[in-house]
Amino acid sequence: MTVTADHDVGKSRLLEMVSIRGATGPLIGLLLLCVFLSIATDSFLSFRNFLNILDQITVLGIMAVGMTFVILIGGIDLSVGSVLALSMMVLGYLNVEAGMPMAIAIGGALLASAVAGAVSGLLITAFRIPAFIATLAMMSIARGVANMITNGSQIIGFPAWFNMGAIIRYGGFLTMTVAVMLIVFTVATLYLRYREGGRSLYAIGGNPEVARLAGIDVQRTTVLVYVASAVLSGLGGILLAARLDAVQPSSGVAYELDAIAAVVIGGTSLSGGTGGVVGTIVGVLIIGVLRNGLNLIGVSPFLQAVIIGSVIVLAVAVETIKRRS
Amino acid sequence: MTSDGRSPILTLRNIHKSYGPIEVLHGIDMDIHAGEVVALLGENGAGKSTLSNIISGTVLPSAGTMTWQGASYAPANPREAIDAGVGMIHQELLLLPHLSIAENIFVGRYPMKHGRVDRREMESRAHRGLERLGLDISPRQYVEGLSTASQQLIEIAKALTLNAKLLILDEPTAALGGEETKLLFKQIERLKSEGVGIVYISHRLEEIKQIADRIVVMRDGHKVQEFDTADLPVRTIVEAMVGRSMEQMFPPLAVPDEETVLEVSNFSSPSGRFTDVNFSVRKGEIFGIAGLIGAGRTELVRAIAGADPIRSGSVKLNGRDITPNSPRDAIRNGIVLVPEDRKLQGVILDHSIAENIAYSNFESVARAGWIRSHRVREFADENIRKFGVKGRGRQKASEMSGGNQQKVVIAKWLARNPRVVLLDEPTRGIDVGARSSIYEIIHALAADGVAVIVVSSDLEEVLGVSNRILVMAAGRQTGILDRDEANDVSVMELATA
Amino acid sequence: MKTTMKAMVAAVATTLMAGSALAGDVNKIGLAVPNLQADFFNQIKLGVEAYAGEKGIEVIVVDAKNDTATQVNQVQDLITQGIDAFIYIPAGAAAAAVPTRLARAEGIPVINVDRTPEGAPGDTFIAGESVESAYQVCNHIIGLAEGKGKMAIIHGQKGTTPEVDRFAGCKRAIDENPGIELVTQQWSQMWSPDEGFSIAQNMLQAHPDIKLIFGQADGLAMGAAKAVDVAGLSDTVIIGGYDGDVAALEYLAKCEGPFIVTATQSTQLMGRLAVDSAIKVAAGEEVPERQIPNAVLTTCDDAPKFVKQHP
Repeated sequence: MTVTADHDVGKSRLLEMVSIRGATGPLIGLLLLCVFLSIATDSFLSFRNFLNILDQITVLGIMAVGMTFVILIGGIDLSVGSVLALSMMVLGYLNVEAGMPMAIAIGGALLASAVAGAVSGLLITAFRIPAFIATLAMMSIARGVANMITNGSQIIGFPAWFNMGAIIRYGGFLTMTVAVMLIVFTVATLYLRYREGGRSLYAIGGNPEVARLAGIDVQRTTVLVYVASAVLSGLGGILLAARLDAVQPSSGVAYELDAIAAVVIGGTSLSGGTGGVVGTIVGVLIIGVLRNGLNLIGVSPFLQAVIIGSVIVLAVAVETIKRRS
Repeated sequence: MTSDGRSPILTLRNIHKSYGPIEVLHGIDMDIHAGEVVALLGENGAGKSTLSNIISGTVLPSAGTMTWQGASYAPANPREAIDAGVGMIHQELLLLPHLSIAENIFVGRYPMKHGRVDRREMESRAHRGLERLGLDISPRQYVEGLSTASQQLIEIAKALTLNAKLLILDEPTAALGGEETKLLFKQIERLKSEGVGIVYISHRLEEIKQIADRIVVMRDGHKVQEFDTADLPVRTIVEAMVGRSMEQMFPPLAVPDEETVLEVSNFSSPSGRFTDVNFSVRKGEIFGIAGLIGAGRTELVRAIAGADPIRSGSVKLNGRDITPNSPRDAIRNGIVLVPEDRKLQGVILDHSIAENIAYSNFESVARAGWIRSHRVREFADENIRKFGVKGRGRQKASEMSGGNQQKVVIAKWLARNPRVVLLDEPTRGIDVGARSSIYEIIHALAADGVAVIVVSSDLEEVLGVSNRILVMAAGRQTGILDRDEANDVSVMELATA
Repeated sequence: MKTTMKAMVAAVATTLMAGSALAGDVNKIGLAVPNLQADFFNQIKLGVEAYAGEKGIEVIVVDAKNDTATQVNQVQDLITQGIDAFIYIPAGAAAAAVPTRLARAEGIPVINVDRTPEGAPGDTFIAGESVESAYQVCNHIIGLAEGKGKMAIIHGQKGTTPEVDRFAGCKRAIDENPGIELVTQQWSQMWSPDEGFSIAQNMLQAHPDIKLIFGQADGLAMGAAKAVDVAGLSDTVIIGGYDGDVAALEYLAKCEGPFIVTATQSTQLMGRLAVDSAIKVAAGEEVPERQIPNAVLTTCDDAPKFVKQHP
């Protein structure tokens, strides 16, 4: 008797972990999209193409996780694309130009990103600058610094294994970069669902004053969220460097818009307080599958832009209508 | 119904309203005459808002007829009601803070000349409207920064420039202090004398007695009683509203311990909202704080709870200095605040009750920092059951009545077994039934040895629940009254000192 | 170490990826362009499509919108579609080697057009010798100014191959004429007319006596021409451009205004060479490592015929 009961609890907990509260609409959309693409082109439905899609969404996926945190607390981070470029350039400079070991270069790149995030966070909390403006400024500053490192030119010449990490599929399916993404997804999902800190983000987004009066340190948490977003962007930059085997300061232009789109498609409200990482993963997959599928069908690049824009509107409209009724 | 024999401007006959299979109004008849104030009373959910929404065209009745000035009246939307001369002033003010008063009054129907907004005409007409209400403000002033009372009056002025013959006022004094209420009442008297009919919805029975000519009491969608005069004992009205005889609104007070729990000394705010406040609260004592709006009471309790910074002074708990720097600090020491504005500071409306309660009780629902979600719901259900909240943990806070929301706010703090509970206007906007259960909670807390501080603008309430009362005026502490020396006269004397 | 690693990858990749292209017929060509907003790339696309159409070959075009990472994704997708040859114009300054490696791992011929990634050459590289053509453009305008006067250069995106080469060519012409003084130079981000306009305006503000302007792309030159018009200096300033964009050729065909010469890219020729090379490589034939369809110096006399079709 007790055994069955325990079993049930375990099962429901597992179900709960993968449940997608509020993201059912996007998930259905994703499945429909996959069904349509499988019929429309025979090159879509294959294990190998699935792995390609995972490769392709790595950077966006990781950035979108950070963006989810930021949007959950009712903020916005426009600097992620530039911070990604900054991280890449710091990585390239330390590893290739300064000849330091990769571990130190990665640490340096993440540290530079964290500093950028901390500055944004402090501007927002201590100086009460709106997040939109503070991160817009950081977008410009980080891009500028990224350019200054090499005076605008690219760096190549990473050790061979670095690029291999993005190419070799260990165990037949997992590249190192995709593995990193999956770890980020898992940790972020568990953190948001089950950690005090994660739940506090929902409270802050729901109403910062209520959260503050409930004893949550809103200012500190806000700064940490922007740091997390920046560090994840920096991590995305490192993986992108591995994938491209080169770094350049013009990387990541307009990535913030993709990240925001993924979060919004995934059902996280731009006003904060509702949503989550699982929805964002679905949103990232929708964007990834859509781009991949449209390329496979051979849709003209101009029409692709129209379709992706329409999907963003559609996803948000469906969610809004569902909520209203 | 009234005896003067004039014909009513508005009649309602057999008004029904159903949402799906659920009928919320069961055949309401009502008459409103020109130049009278009819108080519409009832607990939350009695049907007052639905009825007033039907009159103002926001909601369509399912059955029944209305006449307006003798002709058949069936507004399809608020616009039609406004055009007919029926204006409704909502509890939540709908003014645009960054526009001028004149622009707010004429928004959507600016007077035009040569295809351009005629500012001079607009401002002079707005000025006349404001004058009619005895408001001496320039119509060019921006709404932002005006007092709530002035904003309320601007809403009324707006309705009047639309030639309203009937005004529905929904809790107009909810956010007003004594002086402001007086000003509003003076204007209502003036409108009455000009022949405007007024439907007045309020929970404040003392006010109703002052201003209303007649009282209509609703309960569960029925009109249960109609009084041709407002000169009645409060108790009679309350009993009509709750449908049962009220024993005692306020339970008898216990005698607190001698032991001092909380000691506030030389407490001053940086902005001078309160200066040099000194008092102490004993274990099991209910300590009232009274005063007019702007006396600094809310600011004082917020500062004690660490929500706002202070300039000087200290808070001692059982003799130890714990002057808090943040709400987190205060909570850790067992000082909790049930804030004044429930919807903006007490609960997150979009989140479930369980989540709302969990936010201030992480240590009770988590193990080593990991939240156990089944525990979140159980914990919420346990705690809200304790306080008789109707509903379940998984419900959204916004789906609950004001009274139940307030109980949730209290429940989320009491689950922590605090040593000091600060309640700021604990019964504002809450119906009579829920009100008495909140008083019971307050007394139960005191009986458990908690030091309770109650801030209230409702004189009857503060006199009824408190062992002692601190009275403030314009940021100063003007006196502390024992229960036996406190009455409405002695408190008001100190409050206006 | 490096080579063993790469060999290993190639091995892993080939075993994993079924059905690598067999040498032989070319039925499907993948074309990856950096940015179709730029007329030059659009012209190449049209050239490839037109010529492939004649040969009955299907062309799949992907547009990276100037983002290297996007381009890598798109190339993966092209390979998934089973292309038989890959025409690759790398996006951005970091001419990524990864697409070349991906295609190579599949045994797909790689034809680089216009740009080539460092360290990972394709089977052939088809690009105009822009040093030479830029020299011709600058030499032409310097000749018109009789070898003396102040000169300004509006660069393209810093660090890209065309930016570097076009500057090198023009610099050679300047160095040969001691009467020419290079007084100012600035870099644009997007090679666009609005950048050309504002950069030229600033230059004319600082140096009102500039006689010559070289815009490294026609967009920049057109913007500069507008700025010169606005400044009322149309009669004294001479502007040279590069690329032979349709808009620029139409402008030149009118024979009025300060912008008087450009180098028209042989995009039709590039398209033909690319498709022919793809067929040859797939059939196992030899192709030259470097093919040079040079840009053609274009003045108002020969502009009209290029408006209809690029050389």
